[in-house]
Amino acid sequence: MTRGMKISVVAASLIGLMMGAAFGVKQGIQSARSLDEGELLFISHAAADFAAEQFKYADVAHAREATLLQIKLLQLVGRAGPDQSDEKELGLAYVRLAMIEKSGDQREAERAALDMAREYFRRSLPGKELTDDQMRNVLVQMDEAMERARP
Amino acid sequence: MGKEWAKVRLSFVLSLLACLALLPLGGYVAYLVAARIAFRYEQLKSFSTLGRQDSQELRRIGETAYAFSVSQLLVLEKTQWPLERHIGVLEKLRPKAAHEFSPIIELRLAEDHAAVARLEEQANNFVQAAGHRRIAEDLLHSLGWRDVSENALNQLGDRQLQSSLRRRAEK
Repeated sequence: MTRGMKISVVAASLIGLMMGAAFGVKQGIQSARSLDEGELLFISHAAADFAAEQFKYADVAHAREATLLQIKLLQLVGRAGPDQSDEKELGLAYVRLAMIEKSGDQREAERAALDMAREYFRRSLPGKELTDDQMRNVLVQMDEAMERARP
Repeated sequence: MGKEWAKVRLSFVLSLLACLALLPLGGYVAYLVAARIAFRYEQLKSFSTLGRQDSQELRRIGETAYAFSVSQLLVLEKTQWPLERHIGVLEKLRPKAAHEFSPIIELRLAEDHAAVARLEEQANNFVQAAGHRRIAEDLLHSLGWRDVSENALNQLGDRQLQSSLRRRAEK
């Protein structure tokens, strides 16, 4: 093999390695990001579904536990990246908490939860102020829609 | 002269073949290695705004949520075999799951058992139906459900089965 041919073989290998590495890095980053986004979406969805079901069928303590779990997970997801934050979903979770506290006759806790809900709705719908009843109605409608879409 | 020329030609052909083989082969190997390294690095970097402990917790919960959600694909058609397979998958996932996610898995397990109980009942397998119903009852009891009577469990099972029928009708 002549020197020129040896150089060609080495150059071909290097070009292959570099092209492969470039595509590989791009693909690896994309896959990791898609997986992260998918996981965060699945967390929010499963927690919302669970809280809604527990709200409907469980006792006050367990329903509260499920909603607090949803709030904790949504806040954790929101802190993972500003674009992941779902203020509206958090607002709805606090409305649910308020309704649970109301059914447990915890008026102060209900008020605090409604105030939190309003704060989150204010952030997600700037310039729009919802009344307590409007917030409750949104939750009821969302639950009905979720029930219909349930697998 | 002719022999020399043939030698050069052979050498040229061989090196051309080597180039053609090494370019995609090297590319493929580099692609696999680089993709893996980039994936791991990106995963280590992701959720870095949370700090080490919280990002690990979120990663753990995320993996469980992913496995849980993907398992739902098994029960798009709510007949006995997919439901039983789904129960098996969830039972395997349960001990490995992030503990925050356990009640979510338990609720889905209860719903699946309630649905299978209804199907067993329809097939006149009353002993098996009672077994599934008992498991559903225990799970729902631990989740604080207000009503875990036989009637309530039957309604739960029917709701599960009807959601599949409803979807089929919508198609």
